[in-house]
Amino acid sequence: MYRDLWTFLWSRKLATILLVFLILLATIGATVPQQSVYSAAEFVRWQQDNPLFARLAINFKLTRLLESSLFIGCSLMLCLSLLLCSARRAILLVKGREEKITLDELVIAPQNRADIEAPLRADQVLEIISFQLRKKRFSCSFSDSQSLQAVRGRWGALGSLLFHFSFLVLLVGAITSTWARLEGTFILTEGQSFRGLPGEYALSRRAPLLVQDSLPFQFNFEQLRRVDEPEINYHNRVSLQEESGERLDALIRPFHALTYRGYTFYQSDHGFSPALVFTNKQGRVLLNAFVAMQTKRQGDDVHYEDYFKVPGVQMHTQLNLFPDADFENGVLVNRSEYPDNPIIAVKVMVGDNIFYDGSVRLDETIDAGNFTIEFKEVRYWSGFRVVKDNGLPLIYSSFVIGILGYFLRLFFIREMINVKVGSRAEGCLVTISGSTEMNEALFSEKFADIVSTLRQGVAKA
Amino acid sequence: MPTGDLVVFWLTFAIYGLAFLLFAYELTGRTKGPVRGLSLLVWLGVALHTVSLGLRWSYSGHMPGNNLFELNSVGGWCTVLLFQLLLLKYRNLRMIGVFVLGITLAMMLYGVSKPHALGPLSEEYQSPWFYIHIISAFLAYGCYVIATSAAILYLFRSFWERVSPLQVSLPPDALLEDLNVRFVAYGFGGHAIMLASGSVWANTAWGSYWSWDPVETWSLVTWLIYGFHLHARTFLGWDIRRLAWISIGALIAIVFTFWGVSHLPMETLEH
Repeated sequence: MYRDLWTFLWSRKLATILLVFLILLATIGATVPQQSVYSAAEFVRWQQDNPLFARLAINFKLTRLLESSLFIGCSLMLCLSLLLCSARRAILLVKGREEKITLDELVIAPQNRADIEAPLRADQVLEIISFQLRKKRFSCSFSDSQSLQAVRGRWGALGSLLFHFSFLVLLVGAITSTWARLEGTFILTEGQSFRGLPGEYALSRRAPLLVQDSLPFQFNFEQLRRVDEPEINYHNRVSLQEESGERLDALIRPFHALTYRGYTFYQSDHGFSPALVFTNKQGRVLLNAFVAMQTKRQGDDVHYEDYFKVPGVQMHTQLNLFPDADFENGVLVNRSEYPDNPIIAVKVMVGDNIFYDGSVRLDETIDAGNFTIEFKEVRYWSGFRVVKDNGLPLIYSSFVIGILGYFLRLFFIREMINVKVGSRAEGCLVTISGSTEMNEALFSEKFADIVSTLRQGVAKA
Repeated sequence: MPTGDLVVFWLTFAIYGLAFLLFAYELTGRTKGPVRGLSLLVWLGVALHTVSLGLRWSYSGHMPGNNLFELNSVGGWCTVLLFQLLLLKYRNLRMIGVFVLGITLAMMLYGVSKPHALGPLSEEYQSPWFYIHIISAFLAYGCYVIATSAAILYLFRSFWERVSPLQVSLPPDALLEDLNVRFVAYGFGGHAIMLASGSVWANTAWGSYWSWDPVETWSLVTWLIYGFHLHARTFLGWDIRRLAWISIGALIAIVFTFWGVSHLPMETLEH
C-alpha cells in the first residue's frame, strides 16, 4: 500500500494534473479581484460597482482564492510531488540508474537509420566508430561484441532535477518569508535619528518566528531634496552609523530602496515638519517640537494639516500649512510646493468652540489666547518603510537554481546512437540508428552529420 | 518633438505588410515556387525597424520600453529578427512567415494606437532589473510567436487539405512539431527569467517580491500553461494537434496579460 502511495505521489501524471488544476485556480484568482491585493476602500468600491458579480464571488469565496487552503494545498501538493519525483531521480542519478529510454522502446524515424558497408572485422569497425563518437562527446558502452550504444547529453537529467528542486527552495523561501518577515514604518524629520524597533510607530507585519530587535545601527535622516528633472521627485539623503563609528552615506528615492545588513528601507511618504513652540502665560513651555504634518492628497491638490491636543491645557489646535502662501481676497492660498513663504493657519479649539483663528508666519510669534505659538523653522519629514525578510535569500537562490537547471536541461538533450554490426562474406554491414528524447526532426540533421563522419572514419580505415 | 522614428516605423510597417501579403499569396499556391526576394524584403524591414528603434533610443536617451508603443515595437522587432535567423538554417520554414508577420503587424498596430510620446524613463524603470525584465520578455514572446506560428501552420494545413490539396511546399509535420516544442522551451526559459527579474525588481521598488497583482498572476498563469505544454508532450505523449491548440491558447493568454487585464473588473496596481 505504501509502495502504491509512493508511486502515486511521484508519478508525473499527478504532477501534470496538479499543474492543470493550479492553472485553473490561478486563472480564476487573477480574474476575480482578490481582497488581499487591494485596499479595503478599493474593494468596497468594486463591490458597489459590480454588486451581482461581487456577491457571487464572495459567496463562493473566490475573492480569497489565492490565499485559500485549496490553492495553498494544491501548491503544496505539487511541490510534494516534485520533491518525491526529484528525490527519486536524484537517487537514480547518483546510483547511475537514471531512467533510460532504450532504443528498442523507441520508434526510430526512417531518416534516423543508416547502413554502412565496411570491408573490416566487426571489432575493428566498432573500435573506429566508438573513437569517432567519443570525439563527438558521446559516451560509449559495448552491449556485446557486435553492438554499441552511445549516449550524450546526460547533464540534461541533472538540469531537470535542479529545475524542479528550485520549486522546493522557492516554497521554503516563501514560507520563511511569511513567518519571518518584519515590516513597519517610522517617520523622521530632517536631522533626526532612529534606532528603535523596526515598525515601532506602525507595524504592518509581524514575524512570528523572528525575535524583534532594535536596529543594530543608527539611521540618520539628513535631508529631503526635491528633484524636478526628469520628473518631480523627492530624494532622501541618509546615513547609517555603526557603533564603531563607521558611517555609510546613502540616498533613498522612490523605487530605489536602500538595503543594509538585511534591512531594506523604502521611501513611503513625505511632508512638512514645522518647529513650533507653545508657551503659556507663565512662561512655561508646553510644547517645543517638530510637528510632522499629515500630507493629504486630493487629485492635484495637496494639503498639509494636523490636529492635536496641546499638552497641559484643555485645548486642541488645528494647523494648516501653506508652504508658499499668499493671500487672495483675504484668504490663504498656496502658490507652489516650495517652502518659500510658509504660513500656518491656526485654530485653537475648546471642544467645538473656536477659541482662536489666525495665522503665523515663519520666525513670528502669535498670541493665541492662553498661550503663544512661535513658528521657528520648517523642515521636511519622510516616512520610511523598513523590511527585514529572511526568506528572500532562499527565494532568490531558487531563481538562480531554477534558471541554471532549466538551461542545462534545454541545451543538454539526451541523444542516443545505436550501432549493430552484422557479418558478411566480405567485411560487415553496420546498421546505425539514432534517437533523441525530444526534437526528433531537428535531430535528423545531426544524425546525418554523425553518419557522414562515421562513414568517412570507416572509409579511411 | 522629433518624429523621425515614427516615419521609419510606418515605413517598416508598410514593408512588413507587403511581405505579409506576398507570403499569404505564396501560401495560396498561385505562385510558381517561392516569391523571389521576399526574404530580402523582410531583412529590409528588420533593418528599418532597427533604425526606427535606434532613433527613438537616441531621442529619448533610454532603451525603448517606456510605454506600450515601445514595448510592442521592440517585441515585434525581436520576433521578426528571430524568424529571419531561423530561416537562415531552415529555409523550408519560410511559410510560417505569414503568421509571424501577421502577429507582428497586429502588435505594432496595437502599440501605435496607444500614447507614444517620447518621455524620460520613469524613476521606477531606472533599474538594471528593468532591462533584464524586458529583454527576456521580448525574447520569450518572440519565441512564443514563432512556436504558435508553426502550430497555426500545422492546423491550417490539416484543415485546408481536407478541402483541397495545397499547391505549396510546406515543412513536414515532424519539423513543425519540433519547432513548436523547441521554441516553446526557449520562450519558457526567457519567461522564467522575466518572472524572476520582475520579482527582484518589484522587491527593490515596492518592497514585495510577489503581490498577486493581475498582470503578474496572469503572466504566471501563462508560464504555467507553457509548462503544461512541455510536460504534455513528454509525459502525456500529446501530439502536435493538441499542442497546437495549447500554443494558441497560451498566446491568447499572453495577449490578455498585455491587453485584457486592463479591462478586468478592477484596475491593476503597480503594473
